[in-house]
Amino acid sequence: MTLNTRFALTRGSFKLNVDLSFNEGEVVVIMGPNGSGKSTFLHAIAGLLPVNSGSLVLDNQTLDEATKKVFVDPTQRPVGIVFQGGLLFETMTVLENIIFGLRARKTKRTDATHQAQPLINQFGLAELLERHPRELSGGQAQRVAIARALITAPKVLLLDEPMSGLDTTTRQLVRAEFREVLAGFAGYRILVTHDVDDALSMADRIIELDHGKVIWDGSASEYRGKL
Amino acid sequence: MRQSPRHRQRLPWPISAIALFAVAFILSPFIGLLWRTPWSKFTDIVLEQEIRDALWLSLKTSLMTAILCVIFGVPLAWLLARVNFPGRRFIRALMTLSMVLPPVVGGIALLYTFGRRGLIGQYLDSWFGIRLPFTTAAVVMAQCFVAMPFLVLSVEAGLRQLDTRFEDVARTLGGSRWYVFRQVTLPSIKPSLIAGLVLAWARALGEFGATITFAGNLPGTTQTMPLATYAALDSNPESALILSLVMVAVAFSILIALRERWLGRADQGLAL
Repeated sequence: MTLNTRFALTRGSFKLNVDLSFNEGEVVVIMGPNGSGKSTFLHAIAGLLPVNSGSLVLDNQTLDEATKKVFVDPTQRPVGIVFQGGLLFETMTVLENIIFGLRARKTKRTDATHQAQPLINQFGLAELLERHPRELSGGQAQRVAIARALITAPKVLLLDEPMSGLDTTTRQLVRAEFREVLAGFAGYRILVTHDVDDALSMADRIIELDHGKVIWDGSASEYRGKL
Repeated sequence: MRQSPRHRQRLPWPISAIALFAVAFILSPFIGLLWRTPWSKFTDIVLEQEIRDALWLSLKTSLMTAILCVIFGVPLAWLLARVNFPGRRFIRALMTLSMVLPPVVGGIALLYTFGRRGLIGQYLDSWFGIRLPFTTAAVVMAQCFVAMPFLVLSVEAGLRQLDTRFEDVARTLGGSRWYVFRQVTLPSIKPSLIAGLVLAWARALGEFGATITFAGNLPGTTQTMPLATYAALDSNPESALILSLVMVAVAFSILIALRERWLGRADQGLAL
């Protein structure tokens, strides 16, 4: 099974042009400076931005193809996304954040809470459920954000700069945690970062973008050799 | 160069003196009002039929206006903040214009649009038999015209401050647009919404110029508190004083409520 992304996407004067395919099980880190198109790429996969040409195909299902007028709404894509800082819903408790994806699909609150138990235990969140996001540490918020993204059992997990904005100590801890999370997730794993250490410590494969184009695509060990 | 804390705390006296003068200027009319208020007749006057009618009409129309402003203003604010459509800048300029426009001009404009011979009013009359001027509906329209921008601009500022990625995440989690708006967007902009709502309500409560021009000054139907106060000034100054005081009290409580609960968090976004 593969995730095929072969598309062009224009946003103002910026143009992203990629032809990449991803294999289930590999951890892919996308690197590049600000404005290189890393986040735009993730947005396209999640369906938050439509492509202008080409297509996006996940396990033989076309998610987006401009010429055939196929566009699967973000609500219908099996994609989970985690942004920098977690971006937890501030007006909701930790539990409400975690079960949001189930509640949005009209699952009853009690059933949703029950379904969330394995994730709550896996991420050690049982003590934090009634807290609000502002009462969490950076690392805790990140864990809640991942649990929230995984509750809908997505096939693709997208992590957009998940470790920026954390201090060095927390970063070390979160990096180790991330490795664990990524190892425990069986689907497609794509992580965006501009930090080389983050990339090398987690990636099987590294893709480097610049000005909307792929300038490097290879294994992490090859990338290390290039440095 | 960094200033030492001690240096910063010293009051520069010429600036302080001028500032103090400004405070005295704003404060003294309130003292004058309190000083001349005939306290002994307070309850008698407040309980007079005409005053009670005006008070009730003001509350009724301003609350109606506040509700209408939310119903129509929130979607408009959302469009202005989130969708890049042609004419967006024009609409925002229009909002600001009706905020700074003398309300009496708004009243004249409403009269020549919705009046019996107005652009739209003539058809309302001949097709549906609806005549708006000098009705309570006209009071609400005049109030909406002047108050709506306060809500729209406040909510728009709140929406602009909100990171759209919150809504993006909610969408990828399966939330329909309406679900995301209700569960994520609306709770996040609550401080700006409440601030805008209260400002719009306060503006509607104090509306005078557009109301008297478009809706007239009919006791019980279109004579709101500000109109009754102005009318009383000639015939019964004591009533005017007491009505003024009631309005000061209402406005003051609005501000206190705002400051304590919402304005502190929302004021950065409120370009007022």
